[in-house]
Amino acid sequence: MSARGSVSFVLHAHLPFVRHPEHERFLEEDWLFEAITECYLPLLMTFEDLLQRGVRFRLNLVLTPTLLSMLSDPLLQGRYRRHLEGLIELADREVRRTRGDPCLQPLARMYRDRFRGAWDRYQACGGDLIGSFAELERQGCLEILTSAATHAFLPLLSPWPEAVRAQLRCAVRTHRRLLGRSPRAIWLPECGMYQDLDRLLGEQGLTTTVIDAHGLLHATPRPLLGVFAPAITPAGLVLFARDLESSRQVWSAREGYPGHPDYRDFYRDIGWDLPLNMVGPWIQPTGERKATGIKYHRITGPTPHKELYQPALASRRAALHAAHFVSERREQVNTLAPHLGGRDALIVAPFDAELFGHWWHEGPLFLAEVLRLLDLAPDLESASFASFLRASPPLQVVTPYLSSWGQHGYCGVWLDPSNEWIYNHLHHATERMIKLARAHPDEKGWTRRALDQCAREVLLAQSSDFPFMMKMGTTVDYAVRRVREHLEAAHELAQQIESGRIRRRALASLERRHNLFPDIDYRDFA
Amino acid sequence: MDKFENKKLSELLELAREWGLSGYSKLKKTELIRLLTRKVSQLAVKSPRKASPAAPASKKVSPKTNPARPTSSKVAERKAAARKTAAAHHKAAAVGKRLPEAYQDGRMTLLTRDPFWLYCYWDLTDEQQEKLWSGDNPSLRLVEDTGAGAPAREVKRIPLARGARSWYIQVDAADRPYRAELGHSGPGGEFLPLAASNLSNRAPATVASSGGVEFVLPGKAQKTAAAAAAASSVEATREQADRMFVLSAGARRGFAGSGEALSELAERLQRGLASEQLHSGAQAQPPAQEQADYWLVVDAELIVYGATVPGSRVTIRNMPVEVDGSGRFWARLALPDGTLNVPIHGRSPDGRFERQARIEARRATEPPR
Repeated sequence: MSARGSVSFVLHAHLPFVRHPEHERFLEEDWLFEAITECYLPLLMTFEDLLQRGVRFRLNLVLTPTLLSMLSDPLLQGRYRRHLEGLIELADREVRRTRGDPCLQPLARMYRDRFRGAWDRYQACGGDLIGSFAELERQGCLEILTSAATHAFLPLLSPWPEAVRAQLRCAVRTHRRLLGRSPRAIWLPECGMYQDLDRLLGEQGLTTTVIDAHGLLHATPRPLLGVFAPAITPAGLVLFARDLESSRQVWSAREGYPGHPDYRDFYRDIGWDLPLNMVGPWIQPTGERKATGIKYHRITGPTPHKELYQPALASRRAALHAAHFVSERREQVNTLAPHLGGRDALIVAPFDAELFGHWWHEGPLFLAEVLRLLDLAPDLESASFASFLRASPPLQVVTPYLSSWGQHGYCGVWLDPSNEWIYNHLHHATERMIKLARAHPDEKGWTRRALDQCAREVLLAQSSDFPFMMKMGTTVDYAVRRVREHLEAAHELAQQIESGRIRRRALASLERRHNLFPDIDYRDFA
Repeated sequence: MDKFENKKLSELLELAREWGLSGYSKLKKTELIRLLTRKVSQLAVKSPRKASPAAPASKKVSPKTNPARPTSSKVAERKAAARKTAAAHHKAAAVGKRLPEAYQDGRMTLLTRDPFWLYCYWDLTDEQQEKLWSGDNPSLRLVEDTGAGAPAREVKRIPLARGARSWYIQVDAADRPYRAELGHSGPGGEFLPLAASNLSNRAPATVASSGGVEFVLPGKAQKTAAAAAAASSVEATREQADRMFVLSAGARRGFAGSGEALSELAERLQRGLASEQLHSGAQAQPPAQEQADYWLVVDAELIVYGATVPGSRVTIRNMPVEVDGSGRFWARLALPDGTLNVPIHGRSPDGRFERQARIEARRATEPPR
């Protein structure tokens, strides 16, 4: 009998809160729409299909509070329907345009069928994707994790435990409101851990999290089972740690599966390739081009030359890669077995959910096949954190310190000459919010509304996404604009609260625009 | 604006509400369309929101970098265009129109960036600034917090240029809590603090000891007999911890043939440093007092790191370096102007195998003008 092991996938689904009612079409709102069509719906349908086929599988899914807020927002739901209708219309036109072309036509049909399938599934649940994922959790297939309310990178907020607490309380409340149960496990934004965070998490009933490999390996004392067993902090937080080897197989530029020539190319898109008169209405109103989601080519090779996509070839490759992934895990488990003192190995594999379907078109296929093979294997199984802990394995007590899963493993991505300027403003606003919350222990009416909105603005300004974009050089102007917008709003609201003169119309307008967390409580900052 | 013409009155009202307009509820459809059209054109003038030319690349990219995709030259062009606009906006971004440039609330904050760099910024009151800059040797002092009651140990004192508001501070290891203080020298040369920061987060860059092992069952506070038994099934030895460290780093089949695993191990587990991005002058000497009010000094160093089979003998520039229990090594070298050749040589513990590598670094400094 060979050694036994568990594979625990974590899919991290997150988008920053992007909602602009003041513009009818807003480029950055496409992030959500693309992710729903290409990632969240395909993953949902993949899991439902597995369940129907009787495959026993378990995995972890993170739905961050900002993503939950957007998925449940009627304005964005309406816009998403219009967006998808537009895509279906574009695909219909493509089917007509490619009539008589035996190579392109099947691809055009594939997109049309896919978009229609997405439409049907979306309509079937009345746009309530969250409810559908919650149902999978009730079936025991998924464990849904929360994250900090606006995905704040917590190590850089650590001097203000009140602010960290506010992020966590608001997250737990949002999760409970939209998913119907209190979360037990949390995805720390960017896996950002620091030494006192376990206590703050415990206060909110959050008892499980994931950190990067070095976060556990550098803990005190050294973990005797490496990253292949969870550990526990003195305050009772269970730490799962990322396995670098399985991560690398999917992420790595050199060895990663998604770069295979058979897979669909992400960058060639008819939004860039076709004449303006054919895609005009589907790109920017200004005439500037953008991706539509219809992509006819495969990666082919490292040169700009791209050949047409062949779905059968790609599915076969995904199945081969899935088989390879599972056999590699088996080999890994066998190598580890002699050193684990008779315990089963645990392999934790966290990924951005958007990799599956958005970046890597065949990702959901790959995942489905991996989960199916793990179910068939006598020696391996898929696990969620909760299902793994149900067997009550003994856990080594360790104290973890600072770590993240960002480049170089610490805070350098979010604290760097490109974005360091935000921290004085951010920390000032945070500290002021804490003071306001203490000075107003129980407000009602307009002052309460102003305090709540001020809390929303401070939380939004803390999103890790904005310094990340500044560092990566992508959509920097948008990130800068957003941080400033929220800081300015918080600044003005704080002035109004302190002076006792609330500008009601402006406040009401702000409440309509930045409308997430309807049940926010500014006293979370006290 | 025929896009409005095709809409129902109720939809237009909804739009007006969403856009935060006022006084629209009693308008007729044509008037409402005029109002909305005006709003659109205002927005177009007020915020010419340029669509990012990097549409595919502008999607939130994962911190793990997006997976291997060959990029066409077109994509590279788009990315370059995006960077250009990004740079232009970064300059304009530093100070908001309605955000004060500073708050002067006397706050001083110390953040741990990675195991070797702390970042400190401060926003002093007028009074603090006056005292600091008129005092002798205004400086930033880093102290190690040694626990309640014990006197803090001074780690370093960094002379400050007038007007400095932040500093990257290099430390040997951020594995203990530090506090930063701003102040100046007193008559006897003693440090007179004017402001103090929070304590920094701890970030060890090396593994801890393997002593003090304890196992518990989840959800149960105390050790139980079962847990203790389970703990004893794994040897609580340094060798066990070393082995698991290496296996956790992905070096499953021993070290041979997993080059990428090793460099990743070295990068993720050993160093948390991107020194080329840091503009700290923490190591630099201040110029003499009589020089101009404003001054600038720059310097650079080279850090070479890697990993190999534990027990190997490694030299960097023919100088033996220490290889730790997990096979990791590093060295910090001076990097003068010109080309620096850094040969690295490793020999297996049994002396049977040898590997060589070489790094060539070129430095060209344009001195401050």
